Amino acid sequence: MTESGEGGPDVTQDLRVPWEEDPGDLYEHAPCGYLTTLPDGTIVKVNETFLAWSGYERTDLVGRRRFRDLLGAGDRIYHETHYAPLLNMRGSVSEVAFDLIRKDGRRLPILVNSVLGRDSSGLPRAVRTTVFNATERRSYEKELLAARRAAEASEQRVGALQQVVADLAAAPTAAEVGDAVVRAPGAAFGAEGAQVWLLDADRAQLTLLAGADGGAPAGDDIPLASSRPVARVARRGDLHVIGSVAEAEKHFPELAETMRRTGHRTMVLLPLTAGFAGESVGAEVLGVLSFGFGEERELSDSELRVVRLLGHQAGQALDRARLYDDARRREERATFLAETTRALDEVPRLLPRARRLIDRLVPRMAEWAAVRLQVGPAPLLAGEGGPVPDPERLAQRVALVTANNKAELTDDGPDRDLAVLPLAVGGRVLGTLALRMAPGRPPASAEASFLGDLADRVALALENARLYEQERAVARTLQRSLLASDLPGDPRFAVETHYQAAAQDLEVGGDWFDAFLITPDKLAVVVGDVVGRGIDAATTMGQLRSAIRALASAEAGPARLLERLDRFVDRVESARMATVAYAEVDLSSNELTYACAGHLPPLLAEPGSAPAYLLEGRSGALGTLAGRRARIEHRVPLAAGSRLLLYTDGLIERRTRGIDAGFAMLARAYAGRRASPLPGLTAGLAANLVGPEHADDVCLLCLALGTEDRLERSIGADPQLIASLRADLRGWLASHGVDEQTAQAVLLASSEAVANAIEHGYRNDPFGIVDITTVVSAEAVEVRITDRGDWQNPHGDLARGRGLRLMEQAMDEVTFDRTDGTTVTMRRARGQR
Amino acid sequence: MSLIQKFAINEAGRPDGQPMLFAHGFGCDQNMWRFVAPEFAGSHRLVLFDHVGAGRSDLRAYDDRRYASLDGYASDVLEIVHGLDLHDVIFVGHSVSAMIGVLAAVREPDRFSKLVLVGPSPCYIDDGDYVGGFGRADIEAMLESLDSNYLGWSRAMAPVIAGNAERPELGQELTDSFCATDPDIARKFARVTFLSDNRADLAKLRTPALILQCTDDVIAPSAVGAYVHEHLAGSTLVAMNATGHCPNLSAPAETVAAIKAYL
Repeated sequence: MTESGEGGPDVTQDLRVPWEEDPGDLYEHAPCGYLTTLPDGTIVKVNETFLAWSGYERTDLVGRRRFRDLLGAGDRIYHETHYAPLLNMRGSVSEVAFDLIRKDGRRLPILVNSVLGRDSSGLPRAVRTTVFNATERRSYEKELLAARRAAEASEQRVGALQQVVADLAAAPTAAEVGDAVVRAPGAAFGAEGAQVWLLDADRAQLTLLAGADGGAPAGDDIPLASSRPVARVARRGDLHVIGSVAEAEKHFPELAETMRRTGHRTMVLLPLTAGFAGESVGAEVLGVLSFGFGEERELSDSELRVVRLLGHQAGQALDRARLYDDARRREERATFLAETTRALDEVPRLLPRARRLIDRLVPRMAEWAAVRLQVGPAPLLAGEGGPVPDPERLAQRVALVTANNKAELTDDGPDRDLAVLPLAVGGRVLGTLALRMAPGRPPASAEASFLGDLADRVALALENARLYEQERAVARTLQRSLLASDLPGDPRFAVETHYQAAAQDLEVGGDWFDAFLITPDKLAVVVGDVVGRGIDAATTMGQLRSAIRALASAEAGPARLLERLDRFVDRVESARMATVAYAEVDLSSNELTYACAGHLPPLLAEPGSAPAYLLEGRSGALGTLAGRRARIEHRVPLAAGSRLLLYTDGLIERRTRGIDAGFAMLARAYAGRRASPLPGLTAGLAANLVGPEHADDVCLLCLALGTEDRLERSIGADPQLIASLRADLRGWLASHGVDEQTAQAVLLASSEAVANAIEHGYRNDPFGIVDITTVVSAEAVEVRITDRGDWQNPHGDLARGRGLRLMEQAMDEVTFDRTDGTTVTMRRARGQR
Repeated sequence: MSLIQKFAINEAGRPDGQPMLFAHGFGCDQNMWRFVAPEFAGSHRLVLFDHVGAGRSDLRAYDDRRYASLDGYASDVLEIVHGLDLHDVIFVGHSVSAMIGVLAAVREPDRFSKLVLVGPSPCYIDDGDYVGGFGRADIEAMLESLDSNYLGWSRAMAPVIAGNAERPELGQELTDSFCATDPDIARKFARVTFLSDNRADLAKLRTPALILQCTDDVIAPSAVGAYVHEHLAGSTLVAMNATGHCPNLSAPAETVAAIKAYL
């Protein structure tokens, strides 16, 4: 509160200036410029201060210039588009910033306030303008503005960087990292044409991973050793900023060309490095990011920091993606190895196993692969895919690898990524695996340990298959030698047999059949089954078969024979529990005596009645107590035309049905074929009763009794058997009174036809059967020879063979029928030609 | 957002009259027409609007890509024409909006009966024989001038001044000001305006046009007006006594008279 009441002391006296203020002087020398202009801007009055600031004489301005004429072009636009409209509408404008162009051309930052005066009718009359020197303030403002712009740009960069970091965190693969990184330069710096290159250290090349505007040159890989700047940055691992086309011209002429094409005036090439931030030296380069600017642009320190940070973040993300990729690939490889081992186990034989391996490898793992095995008489080959490498070069390298037992993962030649691996077990090279990895996979050289593992496993699997095959071959040979040997036959009887191995490629079984003449009038037929499989079973079967032949005698009979076999089994332990169906037929009296030691009952079909199982004469399996107690036999008379079937359990036993159902099925099928020719009967029964998926071996023997108008024989696919067929046929022809010349011709033609069937039809199937049916009539002899083999090129083979010509010369007619296997029908009229 | 809000559309005059669509130029808003438009209220349906980013338009509708060329603004004009179901439109465009109107009428000639082009320029930058009045550097200087003035005017020295949706109070402040424009958008609009070259579009126009050419217009000099007249078939050129670039403000009476005489 003051003492002097409400008004306070009067200080106007103190404020009065000590001299009289001159209004004219005040106008002229006021601390601001003062202008009066017409509404169109023409200067009509100006004070000294303004003249002093602008450097103009009064006469330069008054009536001669408009205010806007004193401004720069940019300000003139602003004057016209902002200042003038505002003044017109609002009547005043304040604090508009302009640069006054002084008479000497220098600029003076000013702030302008204007008031529009109107006449009595409201029309614009004059504009009064004060002009303040704003040098200080404007420079401060410019700094502020620059700072703000820098801050905004920095914020934009940081924002872009944050975005890319977030994107990278969610990018598990190199491709996704590339997509995230390639967007960053545009977002952070307004850059263009960003490209991300991925360094493939294994192949020593750079691959385009992502391009911002698809304007990338057709995605060619760049060798790391290339002179191109991308490769140089990848090698040196340092940031390159090429500030101008001229600079590029000096150091990277190729880049200069690219820059001219893309319109970039500044290029940045940045290594993407893994490692800790700040460790720029020696950090591992995983890729390169390049981008450009449409104008020549200098990057500030803070921008360069962001660029480096970006390179580092991207590098770490690539590193992460690589680790992730490695882990995934490791897992994939482990799975692949396990699955491959399993898949190979499913096919026991050697070549299928090798093929299975190729199927596994191509095209998933390799674009081309081949296994070459050095075991066996000829190298086994399995290959697939493409392009197929140069065979000569491959052969050289295979030889080298085989000799050294050392993998060759690359080649100096044109097929750089073609790898050859030894397949060795215990230091012995079984063969080689050659492959070229699939596109998109690392080359073989980068997968050495995986491929080594694979080769080891494959070698073991193939070695096992080889051993298996070897044993199986021995067993098969043994079995074949025992089964396929000469079976008797004469006009009084015929024997038809069939042996069918289990569908799955398992070891051979112990089933067998046999037929032999004990005396010229006494025929023995046998079907038996030894316990077990494989080479042991085959050997035992051979022993039992020989034993039966040795022990059978005209006097003994089936029961006595079985007793003797029991004693034999005491010495041959592996034959214990074997089962045998044994029958003797007296060909002079057509009397059958049979005994079954633990074996399934024979099935007899007599003319005019349904087939019946022979259920007498049964005793236990060989070497069993039950068997030894009493070996019994049974005797039945046979009518001419009877057919007796012996078989092993594989024919009727199924896990899915009872044995009775099996018996019933067999009897029905047998009855249905009563009128069928003997050749093919047993095979037909097997096909009928045993599906393609049979798990057990099947062995059948059918004995047909009675005189034959025709001779029916079946022989195994063994050329040695042709001689006995000829002997048989010769006797039969003679017994039918066929003249010598005709008989010779028929014998010759038949031998040739059978030989052809074995040689061509069954070249891959030692177990093939050739059926021969010969019919003699009063006029002619007709021979039909059938095989079910696989003639690769029947016409070609036949035409080439001299066999066909011989056959055509010897016979009157030769025709071929290939509807079911291959059947040659030949006919020759009896008598001299 | 509605069309009305988006473009801050104001309608006046006779609802059944022939529509006149007024488009403001760079630097201000529909207030530009305050002395001119009312003169037609008795005879026409008046439609005034602000370009997106200017005046009271909805700043949220601003899209960098759409407004990267004058085509985006021309699309807006057509959007308004369709939205308000305007036919036989007399389009009155000032400055850059003159060219925006030309582009719109080229695209949909059926909707427009006449164009009134106040201070048009198809290209502001000199190019060979063509004299637009400016060099590229002048445009950069103008952008600087814009920056200087917005800095003083905005008073906010925050690093990010852009009036965006996150700062509605700033947006409010901007739109309350007279002829105010978001400085960020103004800068972009300035670039689009002064760097555009629509000379090739002139020949495509089939709508009759009136060209109002001022004396001593530094933005659109007489030579440019003559160029436009020469390249617009069926155009009428009126040389006005008014000086400067904004006869609609500095000489409304002469402007109105010229338009009325033409209509």
